[in-house]
Amino acid sequence: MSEEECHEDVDISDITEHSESYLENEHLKFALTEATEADNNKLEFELNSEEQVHEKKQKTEVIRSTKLPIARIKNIMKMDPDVNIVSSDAVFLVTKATEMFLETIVKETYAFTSSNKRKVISKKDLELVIDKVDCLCFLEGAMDF
Amino acid sequence: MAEKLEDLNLPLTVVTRIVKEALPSGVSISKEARTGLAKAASVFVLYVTSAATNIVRNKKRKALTGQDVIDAMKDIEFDRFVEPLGEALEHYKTMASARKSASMKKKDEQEDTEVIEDDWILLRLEFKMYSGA
Repeated sequence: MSEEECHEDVDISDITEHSESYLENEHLKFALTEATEADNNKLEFELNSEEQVHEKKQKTEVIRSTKLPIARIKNIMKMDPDVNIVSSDAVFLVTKATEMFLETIVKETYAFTSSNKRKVISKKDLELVIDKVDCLCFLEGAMDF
Repeated sequence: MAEKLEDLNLPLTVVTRIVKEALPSGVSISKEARTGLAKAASVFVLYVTSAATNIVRNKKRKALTGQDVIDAMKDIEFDRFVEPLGEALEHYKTMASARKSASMKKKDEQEDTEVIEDDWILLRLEFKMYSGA
């Protein structure tokens, strides 16, 4: 009991304050020495993860949303006299397929354009592609306008 | 049934945007080529629809479903579309069911809020009584 009385009352906050600043200093020292390397790594990591997030976002966007108007596509589909009932997921998929088709055909066409060392895709390039690529044979005559 | 020519065409601006995103930067497309692409897209829609309708007819069904569209891709030699469209269909179904349950949940939540509000009013009344005494 007497021993306890001899001891000064130590405020716990004093200890924590000191230890905090001690830790801060140590942290700073560490940070300074490792700064450049860590920063570079961190930056790379951030860039990579940002890219990944962006890619992932793009991927989910590609899968989930459509750019072409679904209602317009539905109208075109209904022009077929044999069509009765069309489910909404069918219209959605046709819309998505059409977008994918556009990407495919324009990439094929660009291959022709760039092989001729041009940077502007012309109607002639499109006609060439329709002629050459087998799966595009349904477009024969579509460019006569 | 009046068939307007404009209805067959897809919006040129959207087609241009889709196509530009698929190309490297610095490449441009002539106006004629853009119109041609939009027209090709419309023809593609009709082509897919026709192929899918054939499948439906062969199976002696009436409704054209998403699976028929995917099966049609194989018939029209666009096999490479089968996998991404399959994924898209899965996501579409998940979104549709999520939306449905969200609208049902919203209905439940509205009812819950009403109950909570009633309780709150009761509590305030009680407090008034006690503080008054």
